[in-house]
Parts: sequence; C-alpha cells; structure tokens
Amino acid sequence: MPSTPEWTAQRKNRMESDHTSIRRGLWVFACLAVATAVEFVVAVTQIPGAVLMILVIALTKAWLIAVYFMHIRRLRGAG
Amino acid sequence: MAIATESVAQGETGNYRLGLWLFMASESMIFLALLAARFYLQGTHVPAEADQTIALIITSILLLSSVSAYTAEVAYTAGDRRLFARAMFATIGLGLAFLVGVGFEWREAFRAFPPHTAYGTVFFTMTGMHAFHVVTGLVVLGIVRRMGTSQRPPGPWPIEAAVKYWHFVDIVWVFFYPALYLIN
Repeated sequence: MPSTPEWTAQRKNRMESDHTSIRRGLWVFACLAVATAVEFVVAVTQIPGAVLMILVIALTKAWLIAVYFMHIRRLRGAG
Repeated sequence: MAIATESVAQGETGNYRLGLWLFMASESMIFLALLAARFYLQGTHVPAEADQTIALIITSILLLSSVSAYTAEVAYTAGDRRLFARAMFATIGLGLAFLVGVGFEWREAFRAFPPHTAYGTVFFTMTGMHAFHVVTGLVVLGIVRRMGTSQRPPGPWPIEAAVKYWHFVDIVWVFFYPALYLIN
C-alpha cells in the first residue's frame, strides 16, 4: 500500500470529490421533495391553472433526475 | 498502448450508454401510450376515493431510493465498497417498501374502483406496469450489488446501467403520480 504524500493527497482529493457528489445528491433530493410538496398543495387547493403548474413541476422534477442523477450530459461522449 | 486500450474502453462504454438511453426511450413509448389512454378514457377525472396519503408516501419512498442509488454509484466509482453495499441495500429496501405501498393502494382500489370500471382499468394497468418495472429494477440492483461486493468486482458500467434504469423507473412515477392522483 503506497503512503507517499502525493498518494495521500490524491486519496484526499478523491474523498472530497466523493463527498461533494453525495452532498449534491442530497440537495437534488431536497429540491425534489419541495417540488412534490408544492405539487400536492397545488392539487389539493385547486388554484386556477393547477393542471399546467403540475405539468411544469413534473417536467422540472424529471429534468433534475435526468441531469443530476442520470448524468444525461455524458451522452455527448457516446460513440 | 495503454492509452489506446483506455480510449477503446471509453468508446465502448459510450456505446453502451447510448444503447441504454435508446432502450429507455423505447420503454417511454409504452408509458406515454398509457398516459394517453388515461386522459383519453377519463379526462382529468380522479375518483374521490383515490388514497392521497399512500400515494404521497410511496412517491417520497421512490424519490429517496433514487438518492441512495445515486450514492451507491458515486461510492462504487470512488472505490468505497462498504458505502456502495449499504446504499444499494437501502435502495433495494426502499424499492420493496414502495411495492408494499402499492399493495396497500391496490387493496383499497379494488374496493373503490374495481378493474372493470374505466378508471380502474387505467389505474391498474398503469400502476401494474410500473410495479413490474420496479420488480425488474430490484432484480437488476440485487445482481449488481452481488457483483460489486464479490472478490472480483466489475468496472463501473454495470452499476451505472442498473442505477440509471432505477432512475428511469423513478422518472416514470414522477409523471404517473400526478396523472393518477393530482390532476383533477
């Protein structure tokens, strides 16, 4: 097992990036949870234009999942 | 030579990734057809008996499972096998909890709007088709968890593919939930 300062620094960087990614995942989840709550309130209160609002919220949630969880941008490197 | 081999491997993963997205796009057609059938047959009508509480709970469970699946993928890529195994276990557990919730939902739905009614037809077809995809997703997650915790773990692609499929199942529910419960 190498224990040079360079290797230790690389490992530290990787762990930090790992933590950043997980933190970002939690933020995305928080956004999804808030969006779901708003969607629910809009549906229950039946405000005018509720259907359109619910559709926009659903599309936003799907976009968040596709971009942050499914990394759709990585498709650019396909082929 | 090593660079060339790495480049070929990356190209292959890119092709696999494209193939998976095409597969998910073709699957989306089935779900879009179901959504179209729901609105064609019933408009925006939702029966008052539709259980909003269970629907909200299972929606939250599925969203939470997406975070744990994402964490599992990040942990595997970073080489943290312990976190990977735990996060994958949590994802499978949450997926099973979702299915239990759907079971409760169905028990109520059989009484409120049986499958021979118009709403019952769309409700059971949509939730049934989605639940089937959840089951297949759980099987795939179980397989990759076993692979990832074995003595000779594979590269990141099988885990990425299984997790992507799980997120896809989540996205489908993002549209099914309002279509079946909220738009009224």
